[in-house]
Amino acid sequence: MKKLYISIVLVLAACGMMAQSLQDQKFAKANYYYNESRFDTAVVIYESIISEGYVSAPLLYNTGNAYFKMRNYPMAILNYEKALKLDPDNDEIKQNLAIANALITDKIEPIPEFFMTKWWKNAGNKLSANGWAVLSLILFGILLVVLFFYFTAHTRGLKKAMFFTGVLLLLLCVCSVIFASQKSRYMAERSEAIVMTPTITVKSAPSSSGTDLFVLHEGTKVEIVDHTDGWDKIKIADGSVGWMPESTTIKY
Amino acid sequence: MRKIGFIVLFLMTALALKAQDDVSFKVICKRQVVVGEQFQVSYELNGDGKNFEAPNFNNFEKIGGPFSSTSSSVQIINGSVTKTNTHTYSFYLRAIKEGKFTIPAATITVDKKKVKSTTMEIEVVKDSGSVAGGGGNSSGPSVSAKDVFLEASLNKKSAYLGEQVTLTYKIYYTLPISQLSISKAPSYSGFWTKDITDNNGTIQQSSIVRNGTEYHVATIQEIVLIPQKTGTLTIDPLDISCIAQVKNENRQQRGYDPFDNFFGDIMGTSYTNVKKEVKSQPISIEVLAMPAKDKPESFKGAVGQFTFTSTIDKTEMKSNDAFTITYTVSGKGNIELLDIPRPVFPPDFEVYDPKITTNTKNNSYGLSGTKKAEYVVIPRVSGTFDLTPTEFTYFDPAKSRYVTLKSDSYHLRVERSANEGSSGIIYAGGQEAIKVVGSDIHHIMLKGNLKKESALLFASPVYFVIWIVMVLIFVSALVVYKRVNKFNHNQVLVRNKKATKIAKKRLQNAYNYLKIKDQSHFYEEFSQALWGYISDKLNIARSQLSMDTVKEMMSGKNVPEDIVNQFIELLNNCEFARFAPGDPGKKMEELYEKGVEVITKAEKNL
Repeated sequence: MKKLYISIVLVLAACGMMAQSLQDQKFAKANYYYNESRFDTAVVIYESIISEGYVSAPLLYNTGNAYFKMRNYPMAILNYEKALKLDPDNDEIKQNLAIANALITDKIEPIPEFFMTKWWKNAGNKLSANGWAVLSLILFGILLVVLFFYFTAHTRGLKKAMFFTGVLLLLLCVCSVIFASQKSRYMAERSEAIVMTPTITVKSAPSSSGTDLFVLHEGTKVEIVDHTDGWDKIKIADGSVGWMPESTTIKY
Repeated sequence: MRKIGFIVLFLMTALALKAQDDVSFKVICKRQVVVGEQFQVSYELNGDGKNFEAPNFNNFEKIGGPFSSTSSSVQIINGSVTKTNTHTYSFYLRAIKEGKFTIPAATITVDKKKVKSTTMEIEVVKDSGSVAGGGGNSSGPSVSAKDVFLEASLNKKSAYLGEQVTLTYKIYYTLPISQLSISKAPSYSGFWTKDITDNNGTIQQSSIVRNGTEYHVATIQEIVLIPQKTGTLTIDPLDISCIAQVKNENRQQRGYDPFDNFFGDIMGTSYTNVKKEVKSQPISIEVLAMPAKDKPESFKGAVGQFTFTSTIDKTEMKSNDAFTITYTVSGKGNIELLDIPRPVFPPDFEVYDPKITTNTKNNSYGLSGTKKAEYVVIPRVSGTFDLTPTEFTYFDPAKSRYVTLKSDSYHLRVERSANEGSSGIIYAGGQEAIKVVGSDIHHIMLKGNLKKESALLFASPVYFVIWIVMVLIFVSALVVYKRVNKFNHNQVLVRNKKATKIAKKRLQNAYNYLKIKDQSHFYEEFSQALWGYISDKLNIARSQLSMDTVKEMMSGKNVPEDIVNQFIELLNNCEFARFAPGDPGKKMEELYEKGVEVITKAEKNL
């Protein structure tokens, strides 16, 4: 019986590994096609890996590059943004995204960010969502140990030391929990989107009879703020708000 | 000899004269004109000529010319055929001042010889309203207002602003008139005008009886007026001058000889040409403003009756392809003055200025026609678009209301064209964009790091479980610790409590040994009692026991100093007593007494 179980587990593991290596092979093949300037073939392979449920920043970044070379800037931007979500500190992704953004129709002046918000965001980007979650657990564990010593300390000196260490650790733990929570929520939500229709008029209300507010073109990034009845309420980088049909964008 | 020479000269002269005689170049014009009168001067050459040179008409205003014309005539006289070509060079002059002037000669080249025309003397007389003809009557005949008058009439007494009205000038006359010309035309201020007089056909004439007199009527001018401001507008008189032929009425002849009268005209009864100025009466018209109530926003001044249509050359195209859409207004009214409203196109449609064509014609109903606006449009993006219909509003004066017409709406399908992306770069223009495009994107990453999308740890069940587990460990660790502590503490308490009992028991044993004088056992037991007591009471481990520790611990427990010293002394004595000389029994007894005393005292404090 035991032998059977073991063998089953081994076979499953092997399958898993094989599946993984198959995708790796496909990835390598797609890269090869990219280097041969056969970008459309490369895109097809990249997308097939993604449709199998595999993700990684390099995969999405490469897909973005391939679309870029095919002059499909909206899809390039979509993939770069998805890659950036997984690897926010990556310079290559950031720079390629900037180049793609310069080639789309709309030029939006973003509202300058409050410097503290920027710091916070940059700090949060140092680890992934799960990274922060793990760190928060570790810090909490250490905090408990410190608490333990605090309660069982005989000497005042030790107690004092434990007290301050404990406070510091508590602060760090809270921070990491907040980061973990924010990043996890960000990863889970799909609150950002890229416009995919060549031209769309953004309205003041979720219906086609609303007043025309402004016009957006494909490749522009929008933030989804609300949703009702087939319409999304969106906000663009300069703060303007309006409604557009949900079918006009791809969310990520 | 002289005679022959004379004859030759004579012949040559005759020949020359003859040659001269064959060419005739003469001037033809009136001999007498009035100041301000226009007249014609013609130079007639009986043949072909070249390089006609006009003279300087110094005392006259040259209005027109030279105009040249040719006529030819053939004469057959007694069998011989003569063909004559006549070339005429004409000028129109106007006499500007009184006096006698000469019309100078013109020159022309005939057969390489320059020929001069004749000259003519002209008398320019003051305008006295009559030109005396052959008759020489002392009182010149005159023309009264009853004989010739000019009437201006409008087809409407009142009109709306922008509504067209027709102004007709009719001349009524009982005498024959000719050479009508406008001396002074009215300014028609406040109106837009268009002369619709039919100059190609013959002037219509009719008869009418007015005030008992039969008049001939001719319409000499028709003008369409479109008022440009409201209120009562007045049209100034039109001033016409004409020549009327007045019969010379000889008193002797009147009525006596019907035969003469009958034949008077044929026989050339003299007529006097009298110049007559006729003026129309000023005429006014009431111009109303269009009603302000219900005036639509889209009304921009069109008045009349119109239709409004639109055509488009294609509705399916690729982006960056041009299409043409044409809007047409046609009907009766102020076509030339109205504007076709500008259509609204979706964003990203490039529209060029329209080509406007106007065609008007006039008929008995007034001015009518069509006006077309042709727009060339280029959609710069792809997609489906609905072109909103354009509205055209006009005011119908007959019905006194506004009419709004809509053009057709069109549904366009614009497909993405190959170079749509490039036009995107044009939009993105500006130096910043150009700089960035210069560099290429970074190359692809070679390591895939592919993995299945991992679930989020935060706020997952696993996460909470780990938290809870850690807390539990912490709590249990504390609990355990506390228990152990308590246990130990209890142990201490227990030992403390038992200490006295044990000490007492040991002392009892020691006393027993004292009784039987067992020194070694006594000292052993006694020592044990003390040290054991102290160890238990003070919770000092046996291995730690020494004088110093005891002193320290006892002082720590606030035992009074004298008792501490006594205890220490006792402990010391105990050691010494073992080996010191003296009565063992007495020593033991002393020691024993002391021991009980100290312990009892210490007991109070510990």
